[in-house]
Amino acid sequence: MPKKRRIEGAGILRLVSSGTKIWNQFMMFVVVGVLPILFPQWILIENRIIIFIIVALALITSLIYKVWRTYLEKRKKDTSLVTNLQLLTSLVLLTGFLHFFGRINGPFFVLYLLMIMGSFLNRNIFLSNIIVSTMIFATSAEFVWLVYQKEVVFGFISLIELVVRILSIVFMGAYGFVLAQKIISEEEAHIRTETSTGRLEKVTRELRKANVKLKELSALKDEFVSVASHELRAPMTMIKGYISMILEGDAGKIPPRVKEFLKDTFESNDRMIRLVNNMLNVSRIESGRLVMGLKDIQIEKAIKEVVKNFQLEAESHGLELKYIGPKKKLPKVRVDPDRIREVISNLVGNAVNFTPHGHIHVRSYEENGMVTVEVEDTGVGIAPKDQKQLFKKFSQIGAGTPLKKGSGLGLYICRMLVNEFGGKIWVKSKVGKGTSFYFNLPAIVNHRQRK
Amino acid sequence: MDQEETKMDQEETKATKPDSQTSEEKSEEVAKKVIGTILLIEDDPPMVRMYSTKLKTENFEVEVAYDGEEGLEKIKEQKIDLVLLDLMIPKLGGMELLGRVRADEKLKKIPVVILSNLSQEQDIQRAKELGVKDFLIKSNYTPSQVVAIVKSYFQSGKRLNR
Repeated sequence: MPKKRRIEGAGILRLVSSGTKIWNQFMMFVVVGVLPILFPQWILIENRIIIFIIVALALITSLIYKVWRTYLEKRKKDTSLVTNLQLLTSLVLLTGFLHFFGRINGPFFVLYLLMIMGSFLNRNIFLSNIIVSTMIFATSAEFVWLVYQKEVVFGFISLIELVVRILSIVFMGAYGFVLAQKIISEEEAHIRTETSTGRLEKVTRELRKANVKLKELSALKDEFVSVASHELRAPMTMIKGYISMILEGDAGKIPPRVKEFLKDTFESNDRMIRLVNNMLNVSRIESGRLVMGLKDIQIEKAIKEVVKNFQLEAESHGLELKYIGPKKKLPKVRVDPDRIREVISNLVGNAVNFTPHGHIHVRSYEENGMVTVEVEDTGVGIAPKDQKQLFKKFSQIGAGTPLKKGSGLGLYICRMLVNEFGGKIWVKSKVGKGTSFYFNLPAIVNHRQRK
Repeated sequence: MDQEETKMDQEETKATKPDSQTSEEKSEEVAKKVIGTILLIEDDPPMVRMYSTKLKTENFEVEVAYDGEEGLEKIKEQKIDLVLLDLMIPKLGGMELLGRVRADEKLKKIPVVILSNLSQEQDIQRAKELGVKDFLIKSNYTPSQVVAIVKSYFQSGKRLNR
């Protein structure tokens, strides 16, 4: 089937532009079948030959159109059958003309009848269209003409001819009915698609608009977060700065109790700074403004650095913090080194934070083409229902008493970053036993090394 | 190249300093050797007070500029060993100022450390392209950490205790 070109505007316009086959057929039906019956005087006036020529021209034009269409279709499929049908059609047309001139002739009608039945059985609209049209034209026009000429005398027309006429009129009616049905159903289908496409287009348009608006809003939000965060940073810097200076003794000696209070204040302020930093990070990651400096690196180096950074803190809480390397050297991974350190720091920091006693073991290994990093602790654990919430924004689960309160953004950032690098992050945990966080990154396959 | 420049700077420093100092300051200097002169370009007065206090206690001379134009002038006219530069400053933005300093043959080797609360990746990127020594986000460092970092550049330049 050739791809149907969609013509804008429904109904009449499409009819005129003969966008559909079915309309085309209907037009032919009207021209060759109905008109001669409705206006028999056209035929009765002396020049019935002229009228015949007009109708024949319509038929031939239609045929040419069909042939042209068939030619177009031919490029897509084998059309030897179609070519045969064309020949046949031409023959039938010719027969029709002959019949018209020779008035009523029994054997021709039989031939017509067979062809009509054959084409209907064949469900070949193309063929039946031509045949029926010719047939209808010839019989109806002639019949009417005969009646007017008062030549219709029973006995003159043989029984077979009468039957054929009745049949052909019935066929004509049936044909018209079928066509009408088809037209209606096709129109309906067209209208359906039209409206559904229309609705779809409308919805799409609206969605697009909404999307633009959302993007604007999102940009506005990002800008707000950005500005607000930077503005927040100034006073926090002052608080941090002066408290640290007082604690360092820049303002002279301070009583131990004051020192204690100030330390808590300092820690509180630092938490606020972390929150602002994380909020900025999230807003940047979400808006895609985070520029990644991707490099091929050995993840082990980053892990060792982070573990070293947390060593003192872990020891001060009586925790064993250890990195257990892989048996085989790991392949490199493509990441932003600073960002991946952030991820590992977050996981190790969380582990230190939520482990009252025991150990934290960091491991790395290769698994199915992925470099996996595991941070295992013997901490308070996470309940299964909380595990799902863990990587969402601002999720803080009520497990244990952390040493430092987090922002609820750390693991969300971890997830965003790891995903950005083509990996996944997940957790396994048992309440009271401990938690293992995992993330993996696609290993870079070095062909030279493999060989 | 850097070292040559710093040596030159130093000779100039030696030549100019004694004249501009009072005897009182001189006696102080005997006790605590001045490491170098820092130009702090920062528009927020409390912030200026805090950083200059810390820098002074750590034996730095501090010059202050409250906007970009003043900062550029001071860089041109005075003997500055290192610039601590905020990015959000009036009249002439920090990045703009940095660009001008780098475009100037005479000034382009002055070490600059960004000390700002802006942390946009593109700012950091741009600053690094313009060859800053460091990009410090104020809220992430205590003044003593900032001073320690500043000091490290003097040590690597073999400026300290010579």
